Amino acid sequence: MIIEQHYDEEVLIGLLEEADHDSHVPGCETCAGTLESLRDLTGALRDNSVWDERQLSETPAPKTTNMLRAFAERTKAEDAAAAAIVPRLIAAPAMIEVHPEWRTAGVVRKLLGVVDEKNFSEPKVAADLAALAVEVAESIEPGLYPFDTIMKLRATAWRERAYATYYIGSFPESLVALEEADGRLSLCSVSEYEQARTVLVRALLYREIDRLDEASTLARRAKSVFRAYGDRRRAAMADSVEAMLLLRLRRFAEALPIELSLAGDSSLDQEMRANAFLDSGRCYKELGLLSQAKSAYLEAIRSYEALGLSARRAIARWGLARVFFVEGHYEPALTILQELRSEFGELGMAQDVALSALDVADVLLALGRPAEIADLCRASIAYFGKVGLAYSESAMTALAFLRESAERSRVTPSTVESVRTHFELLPKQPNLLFAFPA
Amino acid sequence: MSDPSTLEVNPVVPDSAMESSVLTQTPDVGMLYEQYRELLLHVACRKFRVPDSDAENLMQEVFLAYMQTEAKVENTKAWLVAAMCNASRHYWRTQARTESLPDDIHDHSDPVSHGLADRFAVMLTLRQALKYLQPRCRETLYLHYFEGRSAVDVARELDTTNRYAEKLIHNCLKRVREIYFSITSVRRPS
Repeated sequence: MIIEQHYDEEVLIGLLEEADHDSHVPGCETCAGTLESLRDLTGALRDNSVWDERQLSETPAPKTTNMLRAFAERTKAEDAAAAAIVPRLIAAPAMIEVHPEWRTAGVVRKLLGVVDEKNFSEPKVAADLAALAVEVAESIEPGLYPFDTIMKLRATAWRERAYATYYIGSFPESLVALEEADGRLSLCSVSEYEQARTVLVRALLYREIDRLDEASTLARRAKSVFRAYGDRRRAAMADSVEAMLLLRLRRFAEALPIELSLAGDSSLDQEMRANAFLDSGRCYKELGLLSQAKSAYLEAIRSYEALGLSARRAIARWGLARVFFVEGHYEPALTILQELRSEFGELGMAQDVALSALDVADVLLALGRPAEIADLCRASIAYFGKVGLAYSESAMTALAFLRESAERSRVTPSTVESVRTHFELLPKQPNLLFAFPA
Repeated sequence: MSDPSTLEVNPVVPDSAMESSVLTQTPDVGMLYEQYRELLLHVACRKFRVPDSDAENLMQEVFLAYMQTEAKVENTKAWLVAAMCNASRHYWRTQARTESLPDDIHDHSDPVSHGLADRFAVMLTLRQALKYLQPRCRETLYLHYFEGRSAVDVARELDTTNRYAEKLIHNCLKRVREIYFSITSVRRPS
């Protein structure tokens, strides 16, 4: 019978400063644990606060307790009142002028709640409501609330405005809103956490305006604060933003470990993990690890399916189709891409209808069936004619060029690529004219 | 076939919906205040040397900030301790305009380091444990760990042999650890 032997406390204390030279401790969980606990204790003994002789009052101050309870009650009451006001205010924003009593923190909070709901379904509406929230917050009589409270309320409204305008691509407005939020938070005595939230939005914005290095620094700074505040979810969001920046910089080997860590973190919600699987798939693919890429995409597809996020599921399937294409498995790639075209059409994702059609064109070229590209273009032209987007005409011109090239048997991968480049720019520059390749 | 940016999925950053706010999570903020008051006072007064008379006001600011954060707070203790560090540093930044800072302001913990709340909790408990030690034991630990004196130095200070000073350091550490665990009721690793 083998009896496991451990060091006693005396020996471990002796090892406090030289455990690296010991052969037993690193492999023994029990001894390593005790040593770690001794290290924590001796570390604390080196701290001045442990030896501070000052006696502090042990009795909670009733004044503080009462003040905090009163604040909580007032907030709840304000929120309850705001629930009836906000729908009326949204229906007729000008009513704020005739109802000065509606200028409360509760109304601002409720408005911001609606902004949050609309950010992804009706982003323009969200931006307008965020502007209304800013207007109400800024018009509240400052003396009605503690100084930090009113400043943070205004800063929150500005930050939500910044995110909403960022989301709809109004980057200069978003930048202004971030400055306003930061200005108010800098006046507060306890605002580090809220500042980190603003920093994260700024990182997203900087990514869009190609200030990538600054964005990366900001994301790391925000993450560090979130971790200190025990906010794992936001720390993971900051990680995710940093990984996205690395993807944008095509630094896939650096992005992959971050994505895998997020994907494997069971404390995060399923959506965040699914996003991380999706991005891991992209990293694997770019690094030539195609088998792992497929597994990651399949995991993302499964998760999105479980969550009922059909648009995201479609994007994950798109990634999978691209891996099949790179592997030379053109038939399964074609099947998925053709399904995706109709799915994107049903979801109203016009740009993706076009881009997935261009991927189909690539596959048809690889399969030696270029003639079918003309029919594909006709269907896409009809789609853009029907949806009537701001950039429909430009889109149809580019697709018509591809169709004509196909009809003349002059389509090459670079022809498809030139049309793809045009489609990638169109949502940001709807008036962009298609430049016919020389 | 190159990957367009459309394959990127943005992390969902904003969530200001009040449904998940602290106010709906916490039934009674007064109880929270009573629960964490001692720890937060320890952080402000003993770690950051904020005068007692001002620490209570800082704590009010911290709890107001806590109630106002509309985000879901995952770890209340960590949040409050980190915010107390933030408030204490802000306090000294403001005071620096009218008076000099404490000499050891740079020794103060970096609030972004991880597990800060737990470390402060360890210190608070350890402080209690030290009160139960014999004065000679306390002095030994103070000289060796806080002042960083060697066993030889400790022996000289306590007027004893080097060998006995070493033994004293070990025994006192073991003793304070025992008391620490008896206070926290944390089971000692065997």
